[in-house]
Amino acid sequence: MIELKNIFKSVKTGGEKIFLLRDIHLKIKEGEFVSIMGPSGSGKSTLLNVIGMLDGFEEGEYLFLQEPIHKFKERQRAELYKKYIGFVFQAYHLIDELTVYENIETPLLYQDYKSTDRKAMVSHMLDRFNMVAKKDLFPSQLSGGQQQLVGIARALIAKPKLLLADEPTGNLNSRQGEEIMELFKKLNYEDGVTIIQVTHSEKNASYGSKIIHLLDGRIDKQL
Amino acid sequence: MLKNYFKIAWRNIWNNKLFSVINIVGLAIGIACCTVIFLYVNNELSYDHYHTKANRLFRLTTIVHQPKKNDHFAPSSPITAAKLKQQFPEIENIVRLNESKRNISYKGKHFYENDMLYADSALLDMFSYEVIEGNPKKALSSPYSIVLTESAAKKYFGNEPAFGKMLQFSDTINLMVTGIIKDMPQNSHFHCESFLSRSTMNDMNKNNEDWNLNNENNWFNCNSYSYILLKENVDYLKLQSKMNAFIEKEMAELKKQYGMDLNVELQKITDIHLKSHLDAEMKDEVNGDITYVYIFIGAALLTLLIACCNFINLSTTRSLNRSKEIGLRKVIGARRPQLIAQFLGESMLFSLIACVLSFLMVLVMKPAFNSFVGTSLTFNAGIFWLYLIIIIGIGILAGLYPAVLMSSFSPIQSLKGKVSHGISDIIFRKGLVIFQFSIAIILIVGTTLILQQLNFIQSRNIGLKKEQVLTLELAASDAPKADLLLKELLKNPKVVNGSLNSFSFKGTSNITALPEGAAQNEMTASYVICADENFLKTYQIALTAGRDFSKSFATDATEAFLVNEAAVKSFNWKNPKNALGKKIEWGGLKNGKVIGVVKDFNFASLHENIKPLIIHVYPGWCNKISLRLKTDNLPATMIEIENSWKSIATQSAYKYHFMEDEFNNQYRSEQNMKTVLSAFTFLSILVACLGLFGLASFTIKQKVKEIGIRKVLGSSVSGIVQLLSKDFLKLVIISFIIGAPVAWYGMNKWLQDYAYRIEIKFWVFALAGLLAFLIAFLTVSIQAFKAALSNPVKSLRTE
Repeated sequence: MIELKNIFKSVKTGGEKIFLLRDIHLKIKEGEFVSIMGPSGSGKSTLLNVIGMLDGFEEGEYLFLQEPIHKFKERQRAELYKKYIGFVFQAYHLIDELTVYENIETPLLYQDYKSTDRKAMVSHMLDRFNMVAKKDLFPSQLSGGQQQLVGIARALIAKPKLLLADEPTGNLNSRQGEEIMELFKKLNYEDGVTIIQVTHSEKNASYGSKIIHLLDGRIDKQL
Repeated sequence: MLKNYFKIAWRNIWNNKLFSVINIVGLAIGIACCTVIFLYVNNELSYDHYHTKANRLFRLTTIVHQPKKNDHFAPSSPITAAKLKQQFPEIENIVRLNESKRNISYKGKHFYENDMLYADSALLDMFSYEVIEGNPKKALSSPYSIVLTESAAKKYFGNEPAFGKMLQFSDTINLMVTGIIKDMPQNSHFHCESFLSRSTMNDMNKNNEDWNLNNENNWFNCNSYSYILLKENVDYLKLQSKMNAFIEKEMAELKKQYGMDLNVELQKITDIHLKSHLDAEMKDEVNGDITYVYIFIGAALLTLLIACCNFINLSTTRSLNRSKEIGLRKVIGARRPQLIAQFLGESMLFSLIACVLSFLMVLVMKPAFNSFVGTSLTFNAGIFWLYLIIIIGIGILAGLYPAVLMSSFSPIQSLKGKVSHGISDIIFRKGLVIFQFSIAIILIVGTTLILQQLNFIQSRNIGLKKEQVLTLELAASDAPKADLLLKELLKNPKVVNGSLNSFSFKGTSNITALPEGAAQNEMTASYVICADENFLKTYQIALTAGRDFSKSFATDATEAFLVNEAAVKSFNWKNPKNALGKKIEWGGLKNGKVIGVVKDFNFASLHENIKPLIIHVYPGWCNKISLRLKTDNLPATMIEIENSWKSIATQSAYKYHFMEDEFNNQYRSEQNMKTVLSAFTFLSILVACLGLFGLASFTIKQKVKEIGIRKVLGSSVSGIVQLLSKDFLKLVIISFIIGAPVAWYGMNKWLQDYAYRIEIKFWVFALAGLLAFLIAFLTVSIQAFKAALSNPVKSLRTE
């Protein structure tokens, strides 16, 4: 599904060139559950953003579903990730002014679904996450764990093939974190959604089928 | 999708109350100003358009060429229009209007009317007045017919039917009411209460040879406001030159004899209200001025522009708070045009709400505006289109920049909250603040100078003392009793002095005279005031040479003239002393000598320089009694005067006014401008301050951490206030540097319109700058103080 070859990415700070990613080679097959680990500043989030096509890179090749992403224009990339990728964030990033229902619905608005379809899809998602009673609440009225559930529901609403999660449990307590991880495992197992998550915790990483360790922008080891 | 946008826009408005209130109120004020001005301009431009034949209606104006000057009069002589109609088949019809001041009585009730016009019978056919009763074609054809407006009919007859009834005219003549018309629309360049058939005037004077000669058949007797209706598809400019060729031929003889001739100019009837400022415009009508219309439009647009600047500025500043949402929307698939559409939609929603609010403001402002400016503005369908344009226009104008800017952030940066504004954006926003305050400073300077100029005019020593002079108007039938009346009034101890005269600021007759030293064919039209021995004393006009009229010189009534200094100069008499004893032949009616020279005084508007003037004793033309009164207990004095009047002029209505009011009335459009501009200045400063307030509060919020650190490090409160205010005040100083020269240039130009004007003093600019500075300082420093006084522990913890 994903194939990264010789990826290099750098930034300039104070006249010095700092490499965020060096020579990344990576293959991820459909249906895998991958965890990316590594100390702060090792390039985990950057790698995730590159995979999610939110960020570019200077050198190398990126094939997504056999398509050469590095040759695509911004617009084409956006169309692609809109269709195939869902994002989950550490800080949830819900829109404060929208209710739970509306937050989950938003991605569909950008993909030209009909109103009746949207309703059905959102209702189904609310059902599945046991949030029907909370659909009219605003994010500020929910606990962190509940907010992250909404974030995941939103990421899944458009039926992505790939779910990218940047420290999804970073702001949660351990019980809430476990629930989220169980959910990821279930999604991966039952629905066949490919998941790539960035995490600090060995325990969370163990839910996945593969662990990638990064150090100073390099892949240190793959397990 | 739209619903989603709408929801989020509405919740954003609701959740950010300070921002929303500042934006909406500011915009609403701007839109309300624009709406009122739109209505006003609409009204100004609509003058006389209600005539269905307006595109073919013209006023015939006259330019009289004299040896030393040309005068352009609004009226023309009756014979000019009549002859032209005979000669040119292109003219479908003419109507000539003559003013009349007479008593009208009905069943023992007397009314002094100076709102009547004699009119040719074609009037109701040419002008589209709404006829309620009577035959429009015939109502004004036979002599002694009168057509009343509804309000005149109500005045004379109360609720009785008026049509076909008789009215007494000048106490002795019977008039028949042959028509009732609706009151003339406010947007007419002249108004009157009733029309008399012009044949009445001819019939009354049928045995008066002199009248026929001097009135109906004298080319130079410009006393009729003549309107002509052209046939379809006539090029009026071509016709005008044909007319002038014809007139030149007709008047060849007269030119040789008097050294004067004239030509005519056609004026579109729809142009008169805004563009005509000729000599002898119709009495009591103050024509508007297209310049003031432009000034009003400009001021309204500036206020709106200031409000838009606020909008752009606050939205852009606040976009930092929404960067997360924008980034997220991008991540979940929003494309840039969709985001731009969302933010434009939001700003249109803002302007929609502002429009609704401004409509309410206009409802409140309209009556006040109407009473200040003397208009009767009404809403029309145009308002709908105006609002539609404003909602879309402002939505795009004010929303585009923030929308484009916000949607340009990269999604990762904005999700991390790391977006910051570039240098160019900061300069842009500072530019907007500078722009706003420049306008505010221009408006402050402009308004101050207009106020000064008007005060200058009103309190200027114009050479005569207009204060405390009461003028009583005499109808023609009162003339025989005038002396008796004056004597009776002078018995009152509160009356210091009194004079019978023809003086009025609104219009002084212009009669040809032949001064000594000029050739026979070098007659000059000079202004003339007919007066008596007490005129100079009553108005306290000073003499520079010779003496005043006096009863002890028997010849003063028949062969003495006073002239002003301007006349001495114009007649080439060197100096006032030298002028004494010079001969004047006046209008073919009187020959005599100069017995005195009066100091120049302004007998007309201060827009004009003082013109040559002749004063002489001529009771026949005197139609006013002027009384100088003592000021104590004025109301009682007024009642005593009215009683004296009623005891003698039993048949006449009592009509009076103070000369000071008459004088000030000449500056009505300036007064209007002053009122409207003051209001706009105030509002635009208010809007600019709202914007500055909002901007300061956001900026300070962003600096909370810096303030906290500085306080912990030991900075004083005043130090922090200084730090926070400095940036904003710098902008005000730059605004002053830009605004002051613009204001100076514009106001200098405006002042050129006055023959008598103030000097532009530096302190006005200093004051405006200081005012803007103070207002800005107060606005910013209140928040700066609040921020500086807050506990640093709190602000540092929130980070």
